[in-house]
Amino acid sequence: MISHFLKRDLKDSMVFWIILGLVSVAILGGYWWSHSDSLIMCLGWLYFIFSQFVTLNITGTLVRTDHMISRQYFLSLPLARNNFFFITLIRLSIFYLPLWLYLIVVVSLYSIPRKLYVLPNFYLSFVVFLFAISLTLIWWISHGLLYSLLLERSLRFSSSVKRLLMALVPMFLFLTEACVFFFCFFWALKLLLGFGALPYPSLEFPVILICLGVPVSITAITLRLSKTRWTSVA
Amino acid sequence: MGFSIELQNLGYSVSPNRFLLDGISLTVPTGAFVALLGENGAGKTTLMDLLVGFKKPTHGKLLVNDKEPAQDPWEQRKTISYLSEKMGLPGDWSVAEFLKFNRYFYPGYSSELESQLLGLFKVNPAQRIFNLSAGEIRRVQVVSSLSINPELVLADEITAVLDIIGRQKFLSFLSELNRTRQTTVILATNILEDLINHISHVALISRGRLSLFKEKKQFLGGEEPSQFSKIVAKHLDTL
Repeated sequence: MISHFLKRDLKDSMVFWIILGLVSVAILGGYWWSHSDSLIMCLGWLYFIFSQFVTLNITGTLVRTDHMISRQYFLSLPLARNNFFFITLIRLSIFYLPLWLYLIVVVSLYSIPRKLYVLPNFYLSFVVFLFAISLTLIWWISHGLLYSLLLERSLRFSSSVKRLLMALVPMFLFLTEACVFFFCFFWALKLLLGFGALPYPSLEFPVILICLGVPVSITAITLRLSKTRWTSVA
Repeated sequence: MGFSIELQNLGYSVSPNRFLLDGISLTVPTGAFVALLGENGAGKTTLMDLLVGFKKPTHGKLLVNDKEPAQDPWEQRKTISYLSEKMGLPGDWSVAEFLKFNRYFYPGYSSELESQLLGLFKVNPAQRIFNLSAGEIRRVQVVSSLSINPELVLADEITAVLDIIGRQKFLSFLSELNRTRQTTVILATNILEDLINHISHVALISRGRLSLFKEKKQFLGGEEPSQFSKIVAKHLDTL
């Protein structure tokens, strides 16, 4: 079932993938010639924009153009809606793969010449970093999905103040959650790599667990909310 | 064999004091062709959304072929045609590409029926959907939805977008499905022209409440079928 959607997505976005590939090669060529770090930053932005560009095409919410298929169509298909929600997440995740790989490669390339691997727990920290990047992307994708669904719902409100609130509240929540993610992962990695020390060393392990558990809980709640919204139409 | 539909005290509210549907009870027998009528904002689309499982009833009971649509009986949707003017199709795709994509989900899909419907509705499969008019897009939707050999057709205001010939062809085809396969049809519409020749039941909704559900004969009450629009208008006026 999922391959049916992925094949179609690939066909629909083939031009964008080709452009992304060509621009990536050009930027990497430029970097090889100039050794300018800003070019590598540009590459990150490019992958980020690419992932955002295709999201609406897949979610099919009201906030879409005439080129896009609507959610009413998707939900009327003979597919279990819970499964279809996860199919949608996977379809969206495909477009985040370049960004995901970029973040891993850049951090790896940053850490090798600086010999960060000699630090205590480096390999465990790298695994935590991979987990942090993957979880953040899952949270980001499900938040994007939830936001577009809430925006769809907000269009039904007659009062412009309510519409504005419905658009602003998720944005505020998103920024707050993003700060929590950054804070939690920053502290978890800092403690693991031995850059920070707590007054009571026995607390380090529970604190690391909490720092990892909070983002996991936030992601689970966001996924749950977006799944509930996904299976009904405003 | 078509689906039966049962509604018991069905209601849907968006807030504690704003009901879009309230206390609707009726039983649609297998193989019925129901015209769901009512003024604008009466709750026809909300009822259709509940029937297809887009929304969950806030109270009461709704069964489509003994299953609650809100519980996502997805296998049942293999034989449900849902047609709505709100349904957006992918503009970048050609008609043929969309039909191919859609066909995949329905085991009972008939390519033969699809070819017949393409010819009947004069749809060119090579055309890109974005270049089609609103009415032509609905014709594509009709072709893709009715080719699944449905047991139940839920058509929400689709006749409003179709031109007079398209509408006649659509109603005739539904009528034939209803007669030959006992397909149950629920057609929410405001266009009454020609409708009387095809339907078996009339349901009138007003301000979220069912004000009438009768067989065609009973509804006409001895009047000529040509008086159908006048009788409907009279009913709606008195509600």
